[in-house]
Amino acid sequence: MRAKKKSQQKKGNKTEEMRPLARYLARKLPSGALDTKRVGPGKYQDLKQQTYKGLRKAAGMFNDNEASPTKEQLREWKQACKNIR
Amino acid sequence: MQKHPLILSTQWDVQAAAVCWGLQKNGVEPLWTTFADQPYRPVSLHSNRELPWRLRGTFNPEEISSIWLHRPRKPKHFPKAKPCDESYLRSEWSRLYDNLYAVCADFGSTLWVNQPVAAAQAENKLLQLKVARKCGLAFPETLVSNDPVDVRRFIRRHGQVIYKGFWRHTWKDSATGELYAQWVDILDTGSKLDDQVIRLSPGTYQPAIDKQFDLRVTVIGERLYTIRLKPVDRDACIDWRRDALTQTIDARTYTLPAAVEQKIRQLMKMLGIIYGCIDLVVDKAGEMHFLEVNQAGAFSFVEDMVGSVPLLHSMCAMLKTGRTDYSMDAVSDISYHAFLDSEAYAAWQERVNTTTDPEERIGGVIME
Repeated sequence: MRAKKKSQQKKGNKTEEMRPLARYLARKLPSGALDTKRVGPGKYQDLKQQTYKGLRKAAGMFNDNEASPTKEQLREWKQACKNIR
Repeated sequence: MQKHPLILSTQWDVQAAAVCWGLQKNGVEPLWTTFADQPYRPVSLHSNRELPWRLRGTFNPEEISSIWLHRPRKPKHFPKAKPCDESYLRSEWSRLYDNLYAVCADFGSTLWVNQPVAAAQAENKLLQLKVARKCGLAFPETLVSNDPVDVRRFIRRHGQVIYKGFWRHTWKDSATGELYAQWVDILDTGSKLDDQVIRLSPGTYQPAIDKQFDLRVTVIGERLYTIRLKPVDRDACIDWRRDALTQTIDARTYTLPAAVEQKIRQLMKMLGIIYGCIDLVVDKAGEMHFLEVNQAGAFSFVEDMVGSVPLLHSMCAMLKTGRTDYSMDAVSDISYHAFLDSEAYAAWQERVNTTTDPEERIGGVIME
């Protein structure tokens, strides 16, 4: 949480506007989060999943029930996800 | 008379689009509407000493096989109304639908997914934990508070606790357009917490669990589907929803112990809901902890992660038959991956991307 400046604490500045705890803890979302579709809990999950899906299809990657992808496959996917942001 | 499933959801709901596609593929024509964009739809409710409430106008209950209530928004914009009256109109229309939902049992034996009153109650996190306790589902010790003394004492006692709000909000910086969201965060004795901020922000505090993995149980009528979620390259995460945005989550099917499954069925029954997404965690000692149930949770991302889990198929079968003990044979040839490859998905994307304001789409964005 972003702490109040010490000088303000010392002064006991009662008029300072406060934000909710959740806002102090909130983290920045990647840009374009609103431009994508709402698929699951992540609002921009869809783009990632489309890329994932495309990669999987193109490279004949793992089936849905299979164990984890290889590190190489993951690197490829992560890179592709970065590119579309 | 052919009956139609009715989907009450926004046009931005990809799951509603998928369900429509699945039902249409099986010769069923669903009705998909939201009240938000059609404020002047006719609706009449009538009752007297002899008759229960009867509904006419928005839809005819006799033509409906099932109703999927998936967070429909209420009328918000009122064309041609004087702007100063808008808050009054929003309030009146909102109350109308709340009233209508409260007596929906009078409209016939249509299957509601979920019954509106039960759905609203099931959103209550305290009630969820109360019912979980009655069902024997273990859950982390919980403090709901805005009292700095209690919060600090709780943190001191447990060392690390998680903090979450009642609802997840998104803030948008109007100058930069940047978005900020909070999911679940860990606080400890080193966290610089301001008393005034704690007083301002009622929230839920629970001890952080040393997790092995997360479980997501999707209940669709009498069927339960469970997947296990874990980051691929490290230990379990604080909140897989947030981590799924930047990391790879390994998701696979999981078989719940029969006793836990039984308790979950009891929980659903006691909450009066027939659809829900339940979050559980398994700690390093192998003990399972109930976190929450989302009565209108998302199933699409689960099936997208683990294609063998037939959630879309199940939902379509339940809505088509209007029964919780539906047969999977009621529909065929449906999967979420097939939907994503379909023209229906492309058309839906086109529609939501070109015709709607993105901020309207996700709702709940706080401008700052």
